[in-house]
Amino acid sequence: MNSFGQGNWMDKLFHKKLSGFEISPEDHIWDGIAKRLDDSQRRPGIFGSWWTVLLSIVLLLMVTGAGAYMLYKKANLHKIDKSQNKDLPYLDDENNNNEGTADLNLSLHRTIVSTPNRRTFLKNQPSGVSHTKPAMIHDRKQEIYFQTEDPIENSKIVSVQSPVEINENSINSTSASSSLKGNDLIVSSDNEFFVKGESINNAFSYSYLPLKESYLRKQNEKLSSPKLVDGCNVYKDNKTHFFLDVYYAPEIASRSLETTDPALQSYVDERTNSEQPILSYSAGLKASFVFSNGLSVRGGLSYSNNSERFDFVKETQKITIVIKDQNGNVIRTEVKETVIMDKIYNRYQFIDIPLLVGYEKDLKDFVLSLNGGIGLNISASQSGKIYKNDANKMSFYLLENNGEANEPIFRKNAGLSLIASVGLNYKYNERMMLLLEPSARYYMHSLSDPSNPVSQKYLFLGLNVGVRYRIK
Amino acid sequence: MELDKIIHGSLRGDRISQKQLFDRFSGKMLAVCMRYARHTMEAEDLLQDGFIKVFTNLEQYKFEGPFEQWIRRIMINNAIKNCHRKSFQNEYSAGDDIPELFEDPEVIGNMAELELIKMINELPDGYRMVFNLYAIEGYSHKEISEALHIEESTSRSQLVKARKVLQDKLLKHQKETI
Repeated sequence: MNSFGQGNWMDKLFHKKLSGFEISPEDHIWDGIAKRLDDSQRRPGIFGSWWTVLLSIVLLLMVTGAGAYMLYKKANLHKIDKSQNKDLPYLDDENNNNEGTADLNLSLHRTIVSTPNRRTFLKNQPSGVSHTKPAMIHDRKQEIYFQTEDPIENSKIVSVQSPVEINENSINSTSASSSLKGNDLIVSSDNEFFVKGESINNAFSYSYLPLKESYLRKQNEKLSSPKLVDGCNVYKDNKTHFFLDVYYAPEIASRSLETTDPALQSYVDERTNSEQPILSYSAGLKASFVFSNGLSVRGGLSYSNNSERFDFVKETQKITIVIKDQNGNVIRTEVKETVIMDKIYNRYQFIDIPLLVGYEKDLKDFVLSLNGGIGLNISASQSGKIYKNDANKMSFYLLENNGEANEPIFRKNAGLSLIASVGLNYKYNERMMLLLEPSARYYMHSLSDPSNPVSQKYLFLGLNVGVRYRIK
Repeated sequence: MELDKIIHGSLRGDRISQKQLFDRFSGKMLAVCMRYARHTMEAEDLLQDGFIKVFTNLEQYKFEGPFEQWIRRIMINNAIKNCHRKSFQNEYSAGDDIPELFEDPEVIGNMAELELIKMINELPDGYRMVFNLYAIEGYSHKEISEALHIEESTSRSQLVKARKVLQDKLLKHQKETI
């Protein structure tokens, strides 16, 4: 700091005259500040609060991860097919030169070769059981490379030779339909097991006949106690399963305010303009039975919250501005009225029991789920305030008390709602699925009390994210 | 205390309290901004920006020292930042203080404050900033040099030149009045 008292006479003059001087700002300056403050407060509202942002990021990661995983799997399968086809050059030849039989031959070999997953192979082709397929026999020498995880089968080179003489007494076939002629024989490189095929009236029959008793016993054990395959692919074991869902859904609320009384239209417009939806979400629990045919029934408990911002006139202020000339004489006075706005957040809460039926389709790593049904509302509550329908803009209905004693505004039960959802749920492991389920919920009846001439209905569009756990 | 109540209300984001705070200090702060700006519109912009900073940084006020000083400091810093966007003349003059032509300040004592502010407004940016900070806010040349990122010697020379320009204007005004 400099020494004011000791300074230049001009500095002292200006300091004395101006240091405490005041100039009344014009109204638009505060209006500009208030608007900028409003904007800065509203900006995060585009995404809701921080946890909504976090949830969106998690969702984005889930979708990206699922997409990347699918691409990875697809690329891997393509790679295996290519390497196997390299060892089966005849397939292309057949395709090109003899389409009539090549397709059948191709499908036969793909039944065996294009199945990198041993477990699926074993499930479809159990030991000692004969299968018959309509396929043409080709008298060609073929070599097929299996890629399996089985300690016995692993890295075995299996060949198809035709014709091959075998000793039928060594074949322990239980197939009644097999009448083995030795036309086609698939033999492992160390003769531990082989497959017998035959052609009778253009039908191809083949049997998988492991010779080792230990191998046979192992396969029987596997067959007697089937395990879940392909992650959470429980739909292949022909059983009904019981699931428990926990979910959260950010939602967009669409509200309709309507009246049949033309005199109330301006009031409806006033409310529409002053109440803006800002945040909605629902969360809940569901229990579901999924039957072996893919049909499902679900029930549970759902809590929903819808917040709306109500901008209202808090008060008006009259400001008198006196304009003077340089000599202090009053030139004129102006009276301006300033409106002081305020806001409050209204909340509409619902507790519903959703009852849904659906159908589920297994898509390897995902499960497509279609659901539809109703929601039974057991409670609806409101808080905040809205404009009253009168000329005075500064009178309100208080929603906490459901209006005043003789003026109920909203019902305490929202009644029935229609619910629909389409989910693409990722199988995380044998018991758990990650839910990603766009949903819609429409309350069929107005939330307004029957005595309230303004109908207020809601449609919620949301994205359920959560976990589905298989209890049984 | 009433002011503390208003500040706490503003901290909560209560718009009424914020308006009360604005009403209480905007007059003085607009006068401050008017001295640093070249014209009224720029001063109003400075006032708006300054109050936005006041409301968004209000939690930094520790209720130690006069609130008016805190808010005035924000306004001045905002004006300095605004000035940094413009080029700053780095002139040096070893000139002495202006001779005191008006030995009796009463000669211009009756001048309206707005006229004095208008004179300050008409100063070049550098002169205006230094004169305001030194003569009215009481900053030292060292503080001014740090705030404006200039040499102390530059601050001194800007002050001398500002005084010279203002003196000429005052003299002219006196002649017109008489």
